Amino acid sequence: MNDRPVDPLVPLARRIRDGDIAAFEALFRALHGPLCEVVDGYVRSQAVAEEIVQDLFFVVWVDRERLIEARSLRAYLFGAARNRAVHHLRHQVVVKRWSDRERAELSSPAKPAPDRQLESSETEAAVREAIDRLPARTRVAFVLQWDYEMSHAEIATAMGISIKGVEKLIATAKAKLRQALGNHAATFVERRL
Amino acid sequence: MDDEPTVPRRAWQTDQEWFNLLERITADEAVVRPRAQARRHWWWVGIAAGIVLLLGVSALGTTRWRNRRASIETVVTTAGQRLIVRLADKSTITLGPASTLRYDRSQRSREMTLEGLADFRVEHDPARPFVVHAGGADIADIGTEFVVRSYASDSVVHVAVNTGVVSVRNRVGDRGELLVHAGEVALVHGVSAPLQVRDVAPAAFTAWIGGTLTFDDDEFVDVARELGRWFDVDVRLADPSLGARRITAIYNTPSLTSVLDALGATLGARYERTGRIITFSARVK
Repeated sequence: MNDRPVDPLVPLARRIRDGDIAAFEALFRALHGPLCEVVDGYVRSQAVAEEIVQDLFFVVWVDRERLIEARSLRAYLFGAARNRAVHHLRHQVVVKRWSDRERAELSSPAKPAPDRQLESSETEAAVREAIDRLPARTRVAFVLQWDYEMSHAEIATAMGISIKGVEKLIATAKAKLRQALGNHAATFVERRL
Repeated sequence: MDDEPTVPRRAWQTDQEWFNLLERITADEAVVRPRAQARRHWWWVGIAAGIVLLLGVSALGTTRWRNRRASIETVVTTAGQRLIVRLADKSTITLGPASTLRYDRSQRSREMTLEGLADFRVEHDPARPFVVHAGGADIADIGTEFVVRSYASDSVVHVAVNTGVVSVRNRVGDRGELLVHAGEVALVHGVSAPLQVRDVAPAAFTAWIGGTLTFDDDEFVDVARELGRWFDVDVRLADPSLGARRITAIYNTPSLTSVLDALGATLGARYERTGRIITFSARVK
């Protein structure tokens, strides 16, 4: 029935519960990027996103004996990450009243890492730039599929929205990229997906 | 296709972040894990918060020395502190105030040395005996929770067993082992005196874990010393006659002032407080 491979994270949960740090590292490495992307979709800051994700993993390890069943581990982590991101933003709203600088930081789009961008060819840079200019949620959905090759169902879980919602966001992303990049680069994007 | 450019992912610092996380975990690991305790005693969280508020202490102030090669860890609490040590074998030790515990973090050996007060919840493993050296006593678990009280100022080591069975031996000489069962308290005087068992509600020995201060027909000199451990104060007796008076009392997560007031009323004494020095004197009629 289900032709999708078994989630490779399933065996990890029990090992982590038993205090297996290697299993915990595997989980961290598998989900660090996608979690950061989702959180970044809210907070628009690489440093803040990584901090939130690290705090989340720290709590997971400290509380590992209560780690829930593996099937929902992924959903739990993404859900908790989103909660933390939203919580951070709410806190920021308060802080913002006192600091305009914060507002500027929050509303400016996250910058792609400069060193990696220098290595890329012109097309790559153009594509990356166009991706980064997408609206936050559209960008997150697109990046999770593009960079992390997550399925629509996985993205839906990660973002806490329906699969239909994911499809809509990705369609929007493609349309906007086509518009921004013109035909050549747009074809490249299409082929990758 | 080779000519197809690959757009790099955003450069999340996964390696660096994992390293940082690992540092946080290892710094946290051997230390205090109130959460773990809270799982078994959900009420502990509130009480613990109360204790911290009342006593103004935190586990962060705890002194620890590490000898990496031998992985011998020394955990020291100051007056007013309580803290929980989780061992790799999932045994949990709650260390009382003004106490010192030395243990092998690697758990190559499950022998440890205690001076002061501690509650041991032991993951029993017949192949790997869990032994506590305290004063003149060697205490080995047989699947158990037990409290050891062995302050340097006490002449007696108390071993109160809450669940299971504990084996107690003299440090020196061979008077054989004494099996102490749940609900019993073993008394070990000195290093080689005969072992004694008393039937005492172990609750009297475990109440401190939840932040309850109890005195059970204790002389006021001992009460004064105990207050010093709980509240980081120096309680002095202007009238030595007060020292022999006996106190029986239970205080739930008390404040220092409330305890001092109650004791003053019980003794018919008054006290003066100057900084951390508290002086009790008989009330002038």
